[in-house]
Amino acid sequence: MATAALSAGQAREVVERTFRAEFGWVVASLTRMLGDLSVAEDAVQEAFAEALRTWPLRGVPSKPVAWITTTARNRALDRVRRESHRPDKEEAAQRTRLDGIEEQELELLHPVPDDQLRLIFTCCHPALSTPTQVALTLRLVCGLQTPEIARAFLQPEATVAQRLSRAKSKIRSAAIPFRVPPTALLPERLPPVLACIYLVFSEGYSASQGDDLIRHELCDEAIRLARLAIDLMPDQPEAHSLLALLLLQDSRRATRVSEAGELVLLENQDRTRWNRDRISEGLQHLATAQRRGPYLLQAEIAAVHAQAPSWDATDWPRIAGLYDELAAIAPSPVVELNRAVAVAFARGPQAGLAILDAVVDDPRLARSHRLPAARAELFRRLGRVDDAAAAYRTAIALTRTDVERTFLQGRLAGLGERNDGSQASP
Amino acid sequence: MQYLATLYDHEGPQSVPGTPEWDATFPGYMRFGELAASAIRGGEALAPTTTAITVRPDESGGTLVTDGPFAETAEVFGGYYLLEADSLDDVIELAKEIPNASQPNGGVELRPVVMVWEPETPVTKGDGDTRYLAAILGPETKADIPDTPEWDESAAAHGQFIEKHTGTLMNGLALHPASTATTVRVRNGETLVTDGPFTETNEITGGAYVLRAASREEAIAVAQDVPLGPGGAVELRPIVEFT
Repeated sequence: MATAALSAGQAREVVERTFRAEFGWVVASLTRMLGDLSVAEDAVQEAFAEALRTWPLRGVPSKPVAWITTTARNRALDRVRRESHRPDKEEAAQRTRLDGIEEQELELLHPVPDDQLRLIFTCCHPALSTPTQVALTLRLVCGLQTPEIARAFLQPEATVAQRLSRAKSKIRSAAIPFRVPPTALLPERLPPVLACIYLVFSEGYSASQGDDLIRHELCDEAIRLARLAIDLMPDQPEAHSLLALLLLQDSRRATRVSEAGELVLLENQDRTRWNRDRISEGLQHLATAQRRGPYLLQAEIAAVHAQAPSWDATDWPRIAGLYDELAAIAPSPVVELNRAVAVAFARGPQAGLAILDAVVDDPRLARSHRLPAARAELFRRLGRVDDAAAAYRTAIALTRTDVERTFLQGRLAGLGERNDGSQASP
Repeated sequence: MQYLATLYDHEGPQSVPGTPEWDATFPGYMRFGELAASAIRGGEALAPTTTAITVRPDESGGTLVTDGPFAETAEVFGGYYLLEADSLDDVIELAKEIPNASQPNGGVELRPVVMVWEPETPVTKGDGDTRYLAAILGPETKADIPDTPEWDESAAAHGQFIEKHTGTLMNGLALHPASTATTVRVRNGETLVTDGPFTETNEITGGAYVLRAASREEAIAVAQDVPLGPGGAVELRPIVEFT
């Protein structure tokens, strides 16, 4: 049963859309059924590859997700039957589970919400290193490909690929369980989950590749996951801080890109189009949060922006102060980068530049366009046109999104003209 | 499934049998023994590393025997348990309760076991015998990764080794690679679970055997036949007998 009248290109788009939206759900359901994450992942990946081959030729099935799930299940069954060298006990256990799958067909096609939470807790198990946890969650829960994860991490692709493969073999060999941890274990198991959700949001809010600046489904996914975390642990202040942060940042999502697809800086955003529901919900969660952890500080920074009537009327000294606090408890080159921008507004571009100069050789920023872009901006404001041009060129060479490239090229072109209206430095 | 829980600590008087400090550690292990009775499949206390013998091939195809451990590290393993558990979470819950987890410099390394070998006819210790743990240490190679041709090849070599030393080898186990290790520490009542082995220099790589020997020379003669990868060595550690 296929819906006709879709071109091959449209069919491919449906596969991609389904992949983005459903990959994690299908992997999670299948993992629960099979008890083996790697087999589930491979099977789902194969099913999508099959879809990419057959849908453009034969048309898109009427229920794409059901098709993917059934195909993946069949692939998994084939594979388990093929692998005769498994220890007998393990094979027998998996066969029993697979026999059960036939009966659970209906359930499989209507995934249990908890499945994805189980998958997240498995991916974020403390027996896996933090970078591994994040990479796994992005790969398995969100369906990101290895190169995208590598860019989100500012790390080489081979490193991420090896990390993922080691993690999956550890989950399997060491029997990391596929479950939501019991209540007593949650306080130690939640922090890595929150860190992961934040990184997923960041990847969505500022996409690392392609011609889209924002990957909306990742933002939505992260917010959905953060809400789930709060449902599960309403008493954890850091979870509220995280959701507040995501909501407050996300309130500006619609205004970050112009109709022409160009990046719009906070300074030029139409504040009347900021999502008031997101802001008030964010502020509510901010009130629930108490501990001055990294999420709370970042949420407070976002709240200052959200409540400022205009760019000029923004309380920059307060934002710079919050960044100073953040840099003290959670130092990282990325925090320094943001702090430099805030300090440049509060205390002048020269002060901001001094902070950037201190991280200019940090290898963790070597592949990021944001450092040269920020430096270029400060050079421009200081009237150092040649330095600004050089830094813009570096940033243009490094950026992975077309939208940002266009924006940076516009800035570079604008350097030759007279001052484009931004304020002179104090 | 089974996990090898390797017990690490700073070596001190409490590592030396017969000292009051050694005796003082007893109640903790007794408590764990009762608590985890249904999960414990085996376990031994090892004599301190001052009694260790390291056996490795030399460059000319012979054997180099040195007194002392494979690597001089601040923290060393002083014993192990073989634990049966359904999942890593379950075995972590057990590992927290092992006294080493709470010692200031201590910790418990958990490694999933690929297989446990025991002779069809149990081998018992003779009166004059010492039991040794012969642990395989050194850089990890492909032969340490199950489901590879190298692993199969190595398994075959171990089969021949076992056959050659029938009657001497009491049991043995093969471990998953060190990348599957998880270390458990308890500090100020908080459980700290981390990825990887307790130390990156003297963790057991491929696995270990327990053997019986009437003399040091006899133990070395068996140890030098243990199949090893490049750079590998066997660390022989006398097992402490409780009477």
